Amino acid sequence: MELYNEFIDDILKKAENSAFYPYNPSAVCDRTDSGTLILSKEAAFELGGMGLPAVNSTLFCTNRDIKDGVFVLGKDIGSLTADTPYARAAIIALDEKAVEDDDGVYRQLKDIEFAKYHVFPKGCLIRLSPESRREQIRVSKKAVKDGLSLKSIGFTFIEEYKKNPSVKAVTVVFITDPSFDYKKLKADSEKAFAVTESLNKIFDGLEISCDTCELKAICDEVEGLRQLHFGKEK
Amino acid sequence: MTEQVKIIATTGKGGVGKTSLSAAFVRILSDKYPDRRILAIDADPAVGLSTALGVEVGITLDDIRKGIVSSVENGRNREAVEMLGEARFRVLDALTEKDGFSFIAIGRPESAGCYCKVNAYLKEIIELITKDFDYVVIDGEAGIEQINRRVMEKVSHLVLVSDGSRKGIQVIGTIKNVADSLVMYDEYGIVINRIPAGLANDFPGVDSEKLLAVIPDDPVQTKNDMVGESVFSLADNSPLMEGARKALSRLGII
Repeated sequence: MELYNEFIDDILKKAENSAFYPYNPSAVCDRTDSGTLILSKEAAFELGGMGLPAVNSTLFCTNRDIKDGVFVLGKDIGSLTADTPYARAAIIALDEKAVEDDDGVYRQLKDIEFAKYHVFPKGCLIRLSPESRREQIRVSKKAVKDGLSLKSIGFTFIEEYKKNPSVKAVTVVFITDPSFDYKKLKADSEKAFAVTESLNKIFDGLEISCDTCELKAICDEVEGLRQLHFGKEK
Repeated sequence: MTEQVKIIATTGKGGVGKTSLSAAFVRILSDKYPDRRILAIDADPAVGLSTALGVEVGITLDDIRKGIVSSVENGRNREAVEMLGEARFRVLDALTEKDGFSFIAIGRPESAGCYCKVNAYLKEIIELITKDFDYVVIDGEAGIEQINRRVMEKVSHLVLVSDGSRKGIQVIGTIKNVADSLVMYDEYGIVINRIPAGLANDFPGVDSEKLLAVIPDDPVQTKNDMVGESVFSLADNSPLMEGARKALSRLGII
């Protein structure tokens, strides 16, 4: 699966000089069952809060050398004192077999992506909007004091993604650097989302004419989608 | 946070002072328990509790519901987990935090059609939020079905509010019967409000064992209502505050 490679290349290139923490399953966060409400007065700050950039992106691949671990571009929680721009990208390497079945691949990708809705680290409130692709993390003052880190939150995401047997490896990239180009990342996140959605339509075989298909723009832009589409028609 | 959240819902006929009483409950609880989490839910479409508490309403839960319904209608089909995620994301923006308490308004349902799925998620969200509070006070619209339909399945304390009129007392009797059939509360009590001075405190049809408080009519409170002042401007020994305190005490909440 090469559909997301352009976005993966871009983000890994930006992350290459940042701190990388190899996944340590024993260093995941304590978790709650369904999340804890953290009121503003109890919060130290919110990553992506106050209308600041807050981007979430899920990218898949099968043919890349992805390592289990976490990149942090910018300051980690312990060094932050106020709301800051924020992004998290999950790069998920899948077993080839997971994408062999054309009809099931969309469901497979969505099920893996949905793992993010089941991550509730203690001491912070992760809010995800599928509409706007925003992800924000409200961090409690107590959690800062207790040493909560993006590294441990990232490990917790990896733990959750890896519950799916088709997931081989996961790299989570956190970004809090205010100088990062969040606008481009948001645009790429939108495109990656559209790629996943287009798989649903293509494999459903609902649209066979490129002239009228609403996904033409994304098909034209993402190498492989058109090929996938016409391959399916045959 | 306590393990068992106390959810107090006021209900009764329109115009008997449910909203003022709910606001008084919130004030008393926030004064008495400054370190606890207290949530006021305005479940009345008229959104009167906000005024009574001096809160400016931004977005309501119905605004969120309409936003999600609109996105579904525009062809963006969402799976259950995404819809729940979206509702969870937006609900925090609808939560107003004040000194001593938080506030959320249900709003006015205007969209036609049935969106049971969205309503169900919203109810789930409200239940998720309330579990993180110690005390929740719900100011309901007249009737109890609305609480069941749009807010939550069960409350711990049901406060039936009436004026001294026969009709008002009949209404709370009906509401209690509905609540009994739905097993919607753990305990209940009755508050008779706005009793004109000099009138006997004898109310046929009211179980005296369950009578929490009788609150005399208070011209200061009436004026407060007229000018839209919050309950925080009332004297601590005003009839409303004293009656509300007595009611909470008899329910074992303070």
